[in-house]
Amino acid sequence: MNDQNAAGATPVACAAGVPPEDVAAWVLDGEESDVVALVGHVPDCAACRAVVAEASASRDVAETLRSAPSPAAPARVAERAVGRIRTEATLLTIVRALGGGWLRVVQAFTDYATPADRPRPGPSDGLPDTGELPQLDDAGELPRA
Amino acid sequence: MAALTDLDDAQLVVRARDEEDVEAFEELVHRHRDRAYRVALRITRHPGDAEDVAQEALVRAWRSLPRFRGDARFSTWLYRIVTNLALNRVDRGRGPAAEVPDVAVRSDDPAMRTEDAERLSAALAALERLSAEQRACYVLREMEGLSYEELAEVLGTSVAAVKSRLFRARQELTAALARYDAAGQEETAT
Repeated sequence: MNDQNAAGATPVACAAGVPPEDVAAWVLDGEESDVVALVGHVPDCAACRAVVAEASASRDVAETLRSAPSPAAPARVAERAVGRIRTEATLLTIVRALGGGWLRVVQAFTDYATPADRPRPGPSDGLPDTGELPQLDDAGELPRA
Repeated sequence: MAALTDLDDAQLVVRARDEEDVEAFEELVHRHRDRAYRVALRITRHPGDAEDVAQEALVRAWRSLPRFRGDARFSTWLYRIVTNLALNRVDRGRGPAAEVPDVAVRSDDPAMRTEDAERLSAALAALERLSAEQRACYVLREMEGLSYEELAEVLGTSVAAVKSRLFRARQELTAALARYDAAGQEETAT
């Protein structure tokens, strides 16, 4: 198994068993390790000090990437989302009297109401084709295929 | 009555969820659409997919609002929906990433402007070469500022797994930029 790091060097393992990702998370983000208190351990551990040196170089990379212009969402993203939400809310007000079973009908209608929002034909998204609407999980998302 | 723009996210969520106030949720949409799109774009690497993902995430957040307890920040919860949808989209497969114009060149020193712009392009190209999961983890931490606990919640994994993904991503990016810098120094020397 190739244990070389991305720079091509074979890292020395920490005798206390502190994984390098713990050291990196500590030096870059202040995250403590579950293995040992790093503030006392790192100065005495050559392996962990090496990780600190390597990890510190990634600060420059992060600064560089954060300097990238932040793309704004095209106006149509919010417009279409709000359009669907308003349509759904209006229809729900009307169909509530018909009972909860109509909720799925309303959602399906608002998903397909706008031509530009109709799903394009393409490969299956990996979900079983049961002819039923997929069940959302607790966060309101489709299960990952 | 306070204007919607004066309310914080938590207050808007309560109004939207408990009073079914659509305008309150629309204020949340306008506040968070850019971050939803930005994260979707960095993960999917395709502007068209990012638009679809961001729009769908906002609609799903509305539909799921009755189940949102408010333990986490609304933005964290939205990040989770966006990230899951974006990773699903990447899993479905698509061709090479579309070219996303990222670098705005503004400087009085043309030489420095070009150099910085090219280095940034190299860094962005390296970011796109990460796996989708590593890229999502890195973007959410370094560019969106989520804590490790929030990252674990958004990505549906443990803090230890987050540390590992971030570590690998940072190693790859650091090595890529080191190679770029070394190549640049060789060119200067010749």
